[in-house]
Amino acid sequence: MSQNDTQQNDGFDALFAAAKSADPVPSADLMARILADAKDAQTVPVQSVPPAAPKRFTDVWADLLGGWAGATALAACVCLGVIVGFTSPDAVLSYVPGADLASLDDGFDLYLESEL
Amino acid sequence: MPFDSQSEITDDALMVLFANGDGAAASQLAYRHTPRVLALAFRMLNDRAEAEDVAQEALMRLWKIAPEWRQGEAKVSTWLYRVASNLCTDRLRKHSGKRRMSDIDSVAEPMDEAPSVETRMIGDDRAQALQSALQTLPERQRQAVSLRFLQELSNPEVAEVMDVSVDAVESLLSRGKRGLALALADHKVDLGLEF
Repeated sequence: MSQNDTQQNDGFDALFAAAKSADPVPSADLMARILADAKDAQTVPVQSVPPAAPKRFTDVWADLLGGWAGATALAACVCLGVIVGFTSPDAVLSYVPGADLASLDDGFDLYLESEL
Repeated sequence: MPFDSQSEITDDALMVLFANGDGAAASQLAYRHTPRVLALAFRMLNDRAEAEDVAQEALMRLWKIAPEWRQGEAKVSTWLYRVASNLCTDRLRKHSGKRRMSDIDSVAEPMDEAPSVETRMIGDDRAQALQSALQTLPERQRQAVSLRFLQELSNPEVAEVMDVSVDAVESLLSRGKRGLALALADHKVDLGLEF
């Protein structure tokens, strides 16, 4: 480093030292504004909860049956039961003690005769 | 509470406390960092009122980001310098059409300045002269010189704040000091300086 460089650095050091000692000091007003901002930022905004929309009739039933998944499963089971009942009634009646298809027919005939 | 609070609590810990609603943490962060941010903004803008606005806005952004602050990733001071620098740049660009300071003699002198150098303290003269000379530098050089020599950041920290390489910082500093020497050439005898 040349003597000129050293002199220049010394000159800058003196300048920078003087400038640092003259740094602006935050005013009380500025600090108050900054702390007020901080307080505002810390305040969690309370969000208003929108009123719940009235439930539809289908939603009420779905809720009673355990939601839409439960209602769908129940409907599928009903359909399956009807299909099985129509396609193979013997299989269904085999689970009913004392019942057979012929006795059901007889009962239906008696009903028709009483109506006529 | 002194502005240069010597609290042992780290900035990262204070950010967590602040995010959890601790008002005292806000106070400690504000008193610890506002003087530095204000000083940088004043160097950049040469306007006390605007510098205060920048300092307030920078701290406001710090409060807002506190809940998402990731400990250990960035220093609060570096982050604030970066935000303040960007805010200053925005203001300088906004005002560039209104106010150009390309010459040291165009910088407004203090209203109560006495004509005689002997009537003022030499330290004040030097500080005022440097502040005026800084305004003659291009914005990036002024920013680099302020951060490195007045805020006393390391070259890598200056590079991080300015989002440039360390080599670029060194180049900015070298040119900045040459520019300062040139701007102060006519005043060095009065200021008792050797360049």
